[in-house]
Amino acid sequence: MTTIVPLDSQKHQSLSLISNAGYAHIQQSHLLPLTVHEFAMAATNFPIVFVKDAQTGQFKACALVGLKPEQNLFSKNSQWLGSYIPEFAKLHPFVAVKTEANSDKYVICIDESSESLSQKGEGDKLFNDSVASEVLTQRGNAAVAWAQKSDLTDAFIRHLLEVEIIQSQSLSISKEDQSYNLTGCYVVNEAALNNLDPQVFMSLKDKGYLAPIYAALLSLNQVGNLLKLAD
Amino acid sequence: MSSKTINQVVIVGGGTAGWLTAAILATKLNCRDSKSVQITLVESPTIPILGVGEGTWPTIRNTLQMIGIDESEFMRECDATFKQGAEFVNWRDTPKDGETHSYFHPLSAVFHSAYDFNLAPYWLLGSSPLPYDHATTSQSRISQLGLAPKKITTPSYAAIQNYSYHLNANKFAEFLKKHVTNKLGVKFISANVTQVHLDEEQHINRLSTDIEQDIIGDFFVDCSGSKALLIGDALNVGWHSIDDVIFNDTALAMQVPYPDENTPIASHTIATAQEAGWTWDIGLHNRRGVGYVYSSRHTSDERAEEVLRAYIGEEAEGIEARKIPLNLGYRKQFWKGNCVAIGMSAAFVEPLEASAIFLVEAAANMLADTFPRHKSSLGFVESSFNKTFKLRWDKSIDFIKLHYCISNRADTAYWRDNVDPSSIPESLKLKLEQWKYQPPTKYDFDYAFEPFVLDSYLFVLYGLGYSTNLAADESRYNDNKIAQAKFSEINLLTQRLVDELPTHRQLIDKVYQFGFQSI
Amino acid sequence: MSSDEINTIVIVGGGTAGWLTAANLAKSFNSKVPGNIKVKLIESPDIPTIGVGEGTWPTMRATLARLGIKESHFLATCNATFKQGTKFIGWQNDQHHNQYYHLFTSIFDPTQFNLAPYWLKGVAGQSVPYASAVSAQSALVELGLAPKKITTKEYEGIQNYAYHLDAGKFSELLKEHSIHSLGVEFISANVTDVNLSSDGSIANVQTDTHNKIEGDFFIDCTGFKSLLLGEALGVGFTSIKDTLLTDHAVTIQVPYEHEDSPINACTHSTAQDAGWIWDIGLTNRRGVGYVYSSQHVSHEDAEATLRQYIGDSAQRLTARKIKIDLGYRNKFWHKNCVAVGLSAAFVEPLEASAIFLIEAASNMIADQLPSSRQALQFAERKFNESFMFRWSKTIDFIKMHYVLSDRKSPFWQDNKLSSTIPASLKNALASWQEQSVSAYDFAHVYEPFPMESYQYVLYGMGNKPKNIAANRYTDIDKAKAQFAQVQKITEHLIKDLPEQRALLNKVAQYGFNTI
Repeated sequence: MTTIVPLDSQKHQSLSLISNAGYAHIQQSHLLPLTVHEFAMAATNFPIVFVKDAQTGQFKACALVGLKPEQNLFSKNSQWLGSYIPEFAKLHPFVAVKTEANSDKYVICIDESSESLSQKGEGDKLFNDSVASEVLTQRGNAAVAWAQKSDLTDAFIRHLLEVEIIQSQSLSISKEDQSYNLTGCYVVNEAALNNLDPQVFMSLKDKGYLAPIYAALLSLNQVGNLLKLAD
Repeated sequence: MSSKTINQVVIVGGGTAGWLTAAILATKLNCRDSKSVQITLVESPTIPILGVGEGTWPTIRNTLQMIGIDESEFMRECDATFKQGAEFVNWRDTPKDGETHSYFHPLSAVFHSAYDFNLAPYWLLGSSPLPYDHATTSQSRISQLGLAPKKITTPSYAAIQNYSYHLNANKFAEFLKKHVTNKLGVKFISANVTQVHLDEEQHINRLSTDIEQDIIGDFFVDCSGSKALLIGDALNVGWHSIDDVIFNDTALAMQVPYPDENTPIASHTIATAQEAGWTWDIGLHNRRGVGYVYSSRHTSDERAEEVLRAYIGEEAEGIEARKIPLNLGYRKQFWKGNCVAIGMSAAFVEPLEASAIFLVEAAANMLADTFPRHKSSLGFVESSFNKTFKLRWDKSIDFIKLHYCISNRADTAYWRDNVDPSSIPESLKLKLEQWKYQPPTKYDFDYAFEPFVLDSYLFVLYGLGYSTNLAADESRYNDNKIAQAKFSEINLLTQRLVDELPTHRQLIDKVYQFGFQSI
Repeated sequence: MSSDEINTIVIVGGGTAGWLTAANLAKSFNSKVPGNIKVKLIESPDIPTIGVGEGTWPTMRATLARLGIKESHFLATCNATFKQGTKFIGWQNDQHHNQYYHLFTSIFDPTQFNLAPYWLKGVAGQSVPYASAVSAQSALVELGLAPKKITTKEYEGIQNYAYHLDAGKFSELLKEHSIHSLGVEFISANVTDVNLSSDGSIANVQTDTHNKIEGDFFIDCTGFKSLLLGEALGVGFTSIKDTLLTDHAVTIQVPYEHEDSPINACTHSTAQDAGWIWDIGLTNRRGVGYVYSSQHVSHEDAEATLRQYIGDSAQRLTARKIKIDLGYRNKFWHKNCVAVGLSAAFVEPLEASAIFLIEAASNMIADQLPSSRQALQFAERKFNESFMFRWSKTIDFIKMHYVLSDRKSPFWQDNKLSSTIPASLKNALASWQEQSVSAYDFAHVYEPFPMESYQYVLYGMGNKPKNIAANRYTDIDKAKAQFAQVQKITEHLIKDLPEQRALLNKVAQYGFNTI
């Protein structure tokens, strides 16, 4: 159970952060959020899919890192088996949350239940006499930067939805005796992309969306990579 | 261009009927193309729209999607909520010692009785221990528990359980107006029509208004409400009252705020039988719309207000009730020459089964689908339109009357008069007589545009406990195993949905905050 | 047991009508279980069943499946073949080489998205016939291909299909199945008298060898004679000879030249000076016949025309002449008696509606026959309304084929006289001059011919609305995509489907699987 709360210099005074805590927090996630900026790198490792958030119904971009729910094929014995680690995986236990829906101000929150936090002074302290430590400042900035990129990613997805080039696709993957069926995934539809009105297509280019779109398309071949890891 | 072509369509009157008709016509006839029909809508700036909380049919989802409206935006703008049918309270028997009875008329059965498998005879023969509405559909249970018909991840307009909406009719008309004038190329004139001019063929050709110059048109749609400026006043088409069949002639309406913002919202209409009519109870996003439809021949306005306030309870204190006279019936002709009436100018049956907006959609769709671009076509469309809608209204009236005429309530003169055979249409009487010996089948519904289908009749008949005696006919129903399997399948589905679906309030809040995705 | 209950149904007359009705009712009432409603059928041992080649509608597949007959067994015993529609040759005018198809499958449902206005606008290409634009089936039929493969499960089609069958053998199959598997009691006897009770309903029928047969409900399947409904109950007959002018048929059974001669995958209907010739391919022979008006051609000339159509192979074959009375009973159901088959009505076989209407009638009887006599009046009213509607629509539709023609001989000219055209058809045709056919023209659920059928015939015959509002039908991209899809599917099916004869041979050898 995660318990995300705003960071408080009084309440969290004595907390310290253990670096190299591994990937326990995403051990059971088969989908990891991505920002559009990561697509090119991510595409060399995992399929990039769009899924709906069960709480809000809003789409987010994700790296598919498992072949079934609660399976993460890339995280093994504190090691990451891929050449690319999604930035999201490295933010933990920090997350930046907007103060209000349309504001550009963020508040840094932490997952109090995280195993990378210590009350016993192991690792780097978060606060030095109520003042944010260098580690915290650096990690907090990273969380805010990720949240901002995530907003741009949302805009990117909204645009793809608007021009109708995303479609639902259940991924049926089978290999010898094993077969997997992942529902609820959405991907870029190549035919729809190719049939776009030239003007609309050019608008994708102008917005700089073409590279991530093709990265997402190509990334689907990484299903083979997942199968290999599953062996 | 030849004068025989119909190019200018004029809709008189806004409101839900006017704006919805304009939207459907403009979309289907592609009015943004200058070579197509041009539509003008004249709305009076002075006459307020008669807007109560209203229910729709699931067809509205297709309609809204077709005219290019975003579901989440529509819901936010119109205080809309999801409707999964209606619950009928105390219609079967007179309530005794505070005990109530109710049945649901949901919007979907799991197995379509006309096409898949008719479970009704097996239910009558005792194959399921549950009441009919719970035995044959999951939706009754879903609505009873206050659950939503879908999830936030379900695409917009798609459903897990079939649904329609409850909405604020005033806001809906405003919302449509904005959409139709901004996006669909309909011209809007704010004016009062002062005179209607006819040509030598008795076709309407011109309207005088209280502003500027006259409005000229080739074809006119009368959406002026019960005043019926065109079809009634100008073209003298008479009105056929049905007050001998359905007695209700007055409504009292109240808007009741929720005690707090977490109050559950019912995702069905609650229709409770009262001593001289029935009360509706509709949950919108921000308030309930509650009202009492009654027969002034059977109760006084004062007594009616007492009944309504008693139904609502403390929350009614300090809220004013608005009285609305109802004139139930229909035009002897809906289409005459180059004019068609849509909405209350055409007909009005009480809101018991929320058919008003549905019939506007149906009329506007038929008008658009068979729209005559040439004057020479007018006659053909006129006769088929009139035939179709006479049938639809007669069948709607039969279905509404069914709720009253097989009730066991005999506590007041109102209910006793309602079972008097002289008040029951012959067509309904014949059917009821036959249904004493066999349950309704698809053969009873042989009209393609039947407004109320077999499933609806089954829910009402067996919800009200109508007795169909199959004792002599058991051998005919020998698919017992299949029926048993279907009943248990429905049960399983119900359990799964109960686990899976959010509460109605939860989903509404999410829709208002995040919205649905289009895919 | 109260005397009011309906426990025994007596069907008088066998043939396709009698046995199909018996089978359908016995199946519905589960008559093989003692204590359930009993179905008895009295058939004359003296009157031979006439076996002409006949066509069915696709509904027959569901009917046979429900009765529990295996498709391969049916095909083998009835010399049956697959029918994918009708090819109308020479109907438009007297010039050579005009033809069109009335098919069973369109690729897209026109009540969802109607391609017709786009076809009329030329979106499918200028010279593409309507049937080829919306369906793959005309191309398949031209090539003599079957509607399915040996791996398709029984009664399922890759393309929709019906059957051509030998009607005599079909009755025999149904008889055998009704008696042995469905619990129908068979009485071989001649009915000599019909006795009525005081209320004017039928009490029992007197037979020559089995004494009186009592029943609660009687079904008249005695053909044109209409022993029960017509003779005993005095229900009159309305002739439609003023509308449909044909009154005779002359038929010849034509063996195939070789046992592997190709079999037509649809009915061929070829217009002639005084009527039209049907040509139906069974597995062992063709059934060919000329339906004509004796007012417009002599019997001798009609036979000569038929022989000329068949060619040399007709030389040693005998022709059989049949008189046909087109029309219908003024009521189909009266008190406790209902007529099914020729005793109820007959219209010419142009659209193969005869067997379909037997199926429809027996289905409706099975669903609507009440358990007690008190309720008979409701079923009677509903049945009569429903079938009066179905017959009059059938007559309209058949007449439409003639009215739209530009052929010049007196028979065809007389067919276009205003006095011969039902008002309902006149009105419909006038409105379709103004507007293209739409779903609103088919408001009745039990419309025998759907909107698609009218489109095939109207557009096949070259009848187009005067105006198609150009800016009204704006989804040109969607229409183009659908037309292209039809062509793609057609090409695929041409490669994929076997020839009709080849498939029938395989079915005879291996049968279809049920899954």
